[in-house]
Amino acid sequence: MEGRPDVDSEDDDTLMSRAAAGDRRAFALLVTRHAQRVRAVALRFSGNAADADDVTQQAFLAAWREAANWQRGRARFGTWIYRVAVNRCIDLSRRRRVRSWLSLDAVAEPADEAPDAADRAVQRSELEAVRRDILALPEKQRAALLLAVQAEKGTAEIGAALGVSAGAAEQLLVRARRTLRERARERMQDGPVGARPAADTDSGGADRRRAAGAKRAEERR
Amino acid sequence: MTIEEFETLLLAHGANPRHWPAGRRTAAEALLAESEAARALFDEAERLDAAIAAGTAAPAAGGALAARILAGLDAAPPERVFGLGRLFAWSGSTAAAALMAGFLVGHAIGGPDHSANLLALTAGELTEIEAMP
Repeated sequence: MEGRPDVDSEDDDTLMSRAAAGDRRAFALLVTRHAQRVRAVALRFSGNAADADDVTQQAFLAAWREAANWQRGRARFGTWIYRVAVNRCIDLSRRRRVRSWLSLDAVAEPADEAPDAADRAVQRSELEAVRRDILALPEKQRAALLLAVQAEKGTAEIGAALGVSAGAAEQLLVRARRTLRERARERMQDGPVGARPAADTDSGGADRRRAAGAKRAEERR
Repeated sequence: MTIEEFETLLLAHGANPRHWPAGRRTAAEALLAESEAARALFDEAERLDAAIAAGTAAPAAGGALAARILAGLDAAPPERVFGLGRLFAWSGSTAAAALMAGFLVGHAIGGPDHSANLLALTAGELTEIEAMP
């Protein structure tokens, strides 16, 4: 039977070509394929559900606008969309930091959206500690880790999304996981999470930032 | 493969051997089979992977986000931008940045306050310099 082509089986480049011609069904399929993971990366990068929704919408809006100029093979949509989203996350994070320094608004606590399965897998306090540690990673390390874990990207694609080489992406992952491992080791040694002061270590400025954030929170109370 | 190289592999790619680069996987698996220290690092990497996976897990956004994205498309139809168009688009944003920088310098030096109009101009709400008082 002759009919409309089955867009469900078409690759991202073809769907972008169809979107350029105004085919919303094709673009909706791109959204269905990628939006959930893009939002997951944005959520865990920003720690804020509303920001994650905004970033995801902005990234796909940029894709819709770009559709007419999309060239097959020049970039992978599944990498490009993360590049746009991560750049917007970083911009948002920097604007928030400036506003925080200028005391224009309070630093929001991360949204708590743990799915039940995750709650069962790790104790609540440990889960929150891990999330804080991830949020405290430097931006590119955080983005690289989230692209690896949430988007299941390899180092070449992570590098493409972050505008660095595959080797540099690997180093970002090494530094990110090393910091998280050190924090986990500290928690193992120190006992219950939250019962100790933030220490200053050579492994990064995370503790200094965490201590500064706690101080700001204390001042607001 | 040395134990330090194995540790770097775990930090870069996690504990799932499927994610290890093919060129290093065989040597890594051989070290894992023969070294107690490698097994200890591997076990710790597995625990770290589980903690990271739990810490980065995100609830499903549901259909609301997709609906919001698709509803927002009307405001931005796909537009073909040719080479010169891209240049002009870049020039436009550069001009806006220069305009804002000039405003900030001028404001710092002194003079009449046209800040509202200049902000509106850079935001696209005004299109004509002549529209300013």
